Amino acid sequence: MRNDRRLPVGLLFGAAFLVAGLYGRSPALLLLGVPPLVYAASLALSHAMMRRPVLEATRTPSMGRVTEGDVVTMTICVTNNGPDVAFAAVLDELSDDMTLVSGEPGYCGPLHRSEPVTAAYDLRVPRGVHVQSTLRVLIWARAGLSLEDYRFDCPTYVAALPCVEPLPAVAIRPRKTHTAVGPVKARVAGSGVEFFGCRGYVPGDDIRRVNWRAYAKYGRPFVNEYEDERMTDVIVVLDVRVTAHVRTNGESTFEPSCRAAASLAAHFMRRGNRVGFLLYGQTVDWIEPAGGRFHLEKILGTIARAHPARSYAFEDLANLPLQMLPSGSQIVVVSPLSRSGDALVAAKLRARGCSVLVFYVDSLELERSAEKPDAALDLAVRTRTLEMATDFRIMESMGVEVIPWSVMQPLAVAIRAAQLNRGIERRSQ
Amino acid sequence: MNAVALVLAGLSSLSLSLAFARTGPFYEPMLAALLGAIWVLILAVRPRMPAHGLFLFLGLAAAGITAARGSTLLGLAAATATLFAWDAITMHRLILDLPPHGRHRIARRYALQALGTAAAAFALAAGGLVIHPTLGFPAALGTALGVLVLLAIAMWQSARVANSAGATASSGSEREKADGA
Repeated sequence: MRNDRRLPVGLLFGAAFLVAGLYGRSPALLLLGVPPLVYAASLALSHAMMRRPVLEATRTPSMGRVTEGDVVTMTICVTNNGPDVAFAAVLDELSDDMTLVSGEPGYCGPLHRSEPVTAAYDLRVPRGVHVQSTLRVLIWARAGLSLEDYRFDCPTYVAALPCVEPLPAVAIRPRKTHTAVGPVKARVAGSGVEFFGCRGYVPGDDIRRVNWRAYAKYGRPFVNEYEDERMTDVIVVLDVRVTAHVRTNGESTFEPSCRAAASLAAHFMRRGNRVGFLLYGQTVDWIEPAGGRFHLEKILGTIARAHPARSYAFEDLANLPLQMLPSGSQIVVVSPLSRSGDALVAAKLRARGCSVLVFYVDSLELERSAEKPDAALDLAVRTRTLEMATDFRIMESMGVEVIPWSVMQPLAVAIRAAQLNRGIERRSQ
Repeated sequence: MNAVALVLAGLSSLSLSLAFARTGPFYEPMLAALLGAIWVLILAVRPRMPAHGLFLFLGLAAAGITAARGSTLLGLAAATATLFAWDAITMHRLILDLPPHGRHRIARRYALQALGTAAAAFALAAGGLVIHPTLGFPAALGTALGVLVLLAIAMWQSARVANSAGATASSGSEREKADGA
């Protein structure tokens, strides 16, 4: 309530002038105390004459979980169960990252007894878990300068999950697979579709699998074997270290990285794998590998809560908790690998028997677009490109597959470009 | 409300400059005008700035000095204008986040009430000023004490209402919690 600040000010100055007037026997100073005292009296009187309402306030979002960039309609409702209020203002406090699309987050007018007042407005929400808490209702006195400021604690949560982009098939070759059928070639003969080899016929083999050419050539029957396709564990690691990400002119590598991690998790899960998730940066946020829609929602919820974070314990990627990661699984790292030792983490993962695929978040174009072109910038770009090439060579020598991805382009484009390059390399070999 | 604050701050500055021009050396009215101009500028450009309390203090102190030097009427005008300019900007800061249509309605309402109260306060003090030469110091003291008694009654009433009001607000979430329990 605002009177508590204005009233003492009026009292203080009024009393000061009265004391000064009495002390100096100055009628001028005594009279100068009259305006502050009248001001304080008017505030106190209007406060006393104010009719106090009995208010109930609620805020309801149209959806609790949305995709980033979606529009959520918030409805605020204030009910007065006390005497009528001639003039009131209801004001909803928006958090900074929300954008008002349409409507007014408030209401101004009378609050009649038992007549609920509602106001609806649309918000565009970026990725994250957004909490709106305080709802303010200002009630003006019927006469005078007094007003009452009611604050309602109505916590409203809206989780904006990251966008999931459709991706082309990402080839992975984990060392271990599960027994269940899945999309990953298991390096064992089974019931797949891709040719794996031939072996001698044994009674009970399907006659349709007999390799008639080999039979004709060697005089004894052979059957074709196909590579089995099984489910595997894919662990998506998202690097959220504040030191790793770049931010220039309001654009950042962080948001595209979150979208990429979400898209990859959804992609591997839709293809029938079990997907785990590790958020590395502030703390280690670990989700065990599993499948299903609810599990995907859990991963997307964790990515929604992610923000660039600094922690001395996790300053280097070398502190990645390898014990948590299932040995022999496929690790997919989404990281800008900004520090010098980051590329060597792949060696540790390989030593644990994991197959590693690194989506290298390349901020070069982003940074370049923010600077004026000159010779020094060209030199810096060339130096950085050389550093990147060295890192890639180190990682490739360890058997790590690297897909460089500029945040200025969609992830699908980077994956297709990598597949194309791999095809050209195979043909040249 | 910002317009009310600007007009009252300008009026306060003008009154103080005139008062100092009558009673003080040449630099005093210039200083008063300069400080007044700075305040008006801050009111116009940075209404959320917390410096307005300092200008209230300076304005009332300057009004006290001019009144003590003999320019009582101008001092009274300056004191009243300074006080209500500060009140207007305090309220303006409070309603800045409201929707525009609501803000205009509140501003109109407030302007009428604030100007009415300011006029009443000034008239009461000026009335005391008019009668005090005939009745002397006791008249001024009586006026001030009369206002003080009025204030005491108002505060007593206010405290009584505040005590009887109790908890009058609840949020939806609190109600849901209570229902759940």
